[in-house]
Amino acid sequence: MKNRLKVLRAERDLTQRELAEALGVSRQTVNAIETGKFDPSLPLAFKLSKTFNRAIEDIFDPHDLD
Amino acid sequence: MTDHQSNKWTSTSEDGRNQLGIVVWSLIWVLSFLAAQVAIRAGWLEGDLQVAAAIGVVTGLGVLWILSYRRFFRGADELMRAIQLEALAWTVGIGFVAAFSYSLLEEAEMVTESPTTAIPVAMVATYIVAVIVGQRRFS
Repeated sequence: MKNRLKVLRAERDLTQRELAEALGVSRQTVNAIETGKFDPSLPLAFKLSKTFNRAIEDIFDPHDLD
Repeated sequence: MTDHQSNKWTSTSEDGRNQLGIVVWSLIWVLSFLAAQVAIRAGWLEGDLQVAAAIGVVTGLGVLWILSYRRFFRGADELMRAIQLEALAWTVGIGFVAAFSYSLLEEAEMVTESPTTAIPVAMVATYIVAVIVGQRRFS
């Protein structure tokens, strides 16, 4: 699923590792989500929403569903 | 939390310890199996009691390996769990299909050797390949 994670992360000057630590996941998970190769679970999506203070729909593109 | 025990596939040092635990217990279990197999074949064990004790030790270490894998799986993040689940699906599938296909070959008397080590080896190889493929898919 397309998302703005990389942009949001860059705006806050966070590395993938720093974001991964904040979320309690591996850096590989953050990378896989950013590149659209892996869709996060709902709890993780809510963690992202809380971390970036954005609604989930503002982070992930709801029109990119199969 | 950052330290040298975590890597790009682990979120915490505990994950790193769990991964290391699997490797260590796998080695211990495999080495114990090989040692018991050599000892039994070479006739180094005297009597059924010693043989049973050796098999008991190998089995017990196998159970500890299972527990270490369960600990790793429960502590893994969702991407690693997804990769592990897919790898396990392939592994179990290959194991079942190979076992049943081999039983047909035995029924047809086209093979005579028992596949007691060939099928587990095939399953281990399948698991390793599936995990590597899964990790590369999400890299």
